Amino acid sequence: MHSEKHLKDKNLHHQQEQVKTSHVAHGQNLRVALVGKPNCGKTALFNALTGSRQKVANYSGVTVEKKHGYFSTPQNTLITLVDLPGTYSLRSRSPDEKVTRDVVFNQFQEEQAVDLIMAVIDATNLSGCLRLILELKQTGIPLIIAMNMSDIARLRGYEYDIKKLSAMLDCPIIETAATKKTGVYELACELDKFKQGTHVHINQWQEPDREMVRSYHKRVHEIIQAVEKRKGMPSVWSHKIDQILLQPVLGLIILLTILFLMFQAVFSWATIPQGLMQDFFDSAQSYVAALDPNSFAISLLANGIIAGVGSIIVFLPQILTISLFIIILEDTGYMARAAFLMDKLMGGVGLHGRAFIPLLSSFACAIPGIMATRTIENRKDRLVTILIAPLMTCSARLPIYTLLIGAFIPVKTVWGFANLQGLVMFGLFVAGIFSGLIMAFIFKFFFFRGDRQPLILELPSYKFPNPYNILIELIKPAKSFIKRAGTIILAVMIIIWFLSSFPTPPVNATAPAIDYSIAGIVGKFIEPLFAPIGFSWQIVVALIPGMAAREVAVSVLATIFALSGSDDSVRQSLAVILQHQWSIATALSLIAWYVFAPQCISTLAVAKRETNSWRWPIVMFAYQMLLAYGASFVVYRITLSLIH
Amino acid sequence: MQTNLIPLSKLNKGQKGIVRQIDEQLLPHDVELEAGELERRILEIGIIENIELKVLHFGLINRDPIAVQVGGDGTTIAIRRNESEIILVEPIK
Repeated sequence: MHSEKHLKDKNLHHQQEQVKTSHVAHGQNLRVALVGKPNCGKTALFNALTGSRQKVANYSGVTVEKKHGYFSTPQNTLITLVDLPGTYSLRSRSPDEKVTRDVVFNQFQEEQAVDLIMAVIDATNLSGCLRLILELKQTGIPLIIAMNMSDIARLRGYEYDIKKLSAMLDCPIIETAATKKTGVYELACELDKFKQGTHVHINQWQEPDREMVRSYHKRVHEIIQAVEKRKGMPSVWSHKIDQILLQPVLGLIILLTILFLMFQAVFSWATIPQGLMQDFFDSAQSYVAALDPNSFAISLLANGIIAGVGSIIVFLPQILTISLFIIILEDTGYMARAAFLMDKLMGGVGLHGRAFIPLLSSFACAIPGIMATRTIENRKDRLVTILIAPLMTCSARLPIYTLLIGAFIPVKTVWGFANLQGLVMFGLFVAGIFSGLIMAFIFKFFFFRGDRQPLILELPSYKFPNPYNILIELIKPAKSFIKRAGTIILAVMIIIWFLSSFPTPPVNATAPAIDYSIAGIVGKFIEPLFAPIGFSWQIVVALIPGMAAREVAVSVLATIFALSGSDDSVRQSLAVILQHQWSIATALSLIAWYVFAPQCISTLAVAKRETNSWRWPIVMFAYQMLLAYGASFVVYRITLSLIH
Repeated sequence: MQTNLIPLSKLNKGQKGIVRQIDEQLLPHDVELEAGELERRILEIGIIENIELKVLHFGLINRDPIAVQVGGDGTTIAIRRNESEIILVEPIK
């Protein structure tokens, strides 16, 4: 009890008190902040220490991800490891870096003060990392250094006098190789030593100006002179790979090839497990529905829950495939190269090279994409990127594309190698990208005029992606997707089933039951608004809950058609039903709609949080609605005139 | 300003130079940062006076941006041509 109160006191007086002793007894908790420069292997170390015991949340007020991990040391100290965004300095110039500074200086009300900083440095690039260490020393908070990538440094010939370095910096240094989990145990043991009580000194940190940065560098230079026993070689491999990947023309061709491959993979590899899952849910639905055709509970279970949730879960393989590509590109260090290659091209429409990564992440989901814009320092650049992020085809739109392409685009091999369906999919992605670029130009030109922000970007050495890391990073989107399917989507499905089943049709009804339901009545009421773009009332009904989550639209269609099927009709797949019910013009119109589809509510909410105003999400919603309606109208009319 | 100094942007691919001066006043197109900020960012990423730079790669259009190797141990930094104008180097033959 005593120490709990003590921690609270410390929380309050951390900044004011001169010298403070923290008594953390055995079996107690220790809060450790994980700080380091970008690309020093910080995330790999975080994963190696905490495994899957991680919790991701948001800091209130700001939108930066709060990543906590938990583990216990050999002597049973419970460690809460707070993973902070990579930063070059404690001064904050982007929202990301501000969080790092605020956590270190205990500026968050809801967060306890950190007891200890674990700083990660890259053993292959000491000169780049030590300046931040010197800054961290100034804060007075106890420091442990994890000298990461020590295996690679040794291979490249680096040799340091670690004891001397530790003495000069006056803090323990543990050599680690996070991807191989070496040094992780030693690091945990080192944390145990802090239990005996450590002095927290007064905070002497102040924001370094350019002259201070120079003097920090000078000090770093002196330290390195003193501790460096042998200088290593730069990564020969990275240089060789860059000769090819950064070659101006070839590099761009390779980048486009990677993107093309990514989309082909989503449409070919991922469809195999998808088909198996689809079969499973289809038979489960027929089995349950056959149990008692007259029971409402059975109907809810079969046509509402199994049909609805099942039709979403089957897209898990595609989401995992696209996430896998993005994680690997990020892990290997290729993403920074992509930003390098794309900077000038994106500059043509006024975007910053750094916007490439958030935009690419938006292909998985616009939410992490919008959150990734935090690395863009300038507000105008950031706003433009946020506004166009939803035009990048997110994985939630894949269900719609897959369904409609599967139903209306023939399976054919074109040019001897490409699958026509994959090609159409690729075309839809490209359409999204191009309209995004055009909109960026319009926004930049009319609303955010100004000079371009500088690009100063580190291109890290290439690394072989670590399978363990990939697995941990891959579990996250899978988890959140399944969680969505189990919560929002499930709830929406139950409501939709209800609205499509009640009121029940009169005894002498001739039309399918759904025509008499609330959903049918509402859908038919709004239908005239969407008639010019060829949408039937079923589509209109599907569009509304599609706002909660785009992929829901598919489930809603599944539910509606499941409920409108008469008992004696053979149960057919949704794709086959659609082929009979819709004209090609309607299908293409709906596809066009979803290229621009006004984003889901969560995207708008994130945009509101990130921009801290309702203005931008409203602008976002309005312009995408207009684009979607316009595009659908054009596509519908052109297709109609071609058919006739 | 010494006469043998040229901006980083004038180095050819593969050429090396020693940084002698970083001076924001030389920036051709404004980048909307407060005074001292651009210089500080360049310093923070590790491009400082008396360090050796080697030009490694150029982008496709107008040879922009530029990728340079900083110091001996091979950190590679990408920087736009515009901002590289403020880094004055002494070319190494």
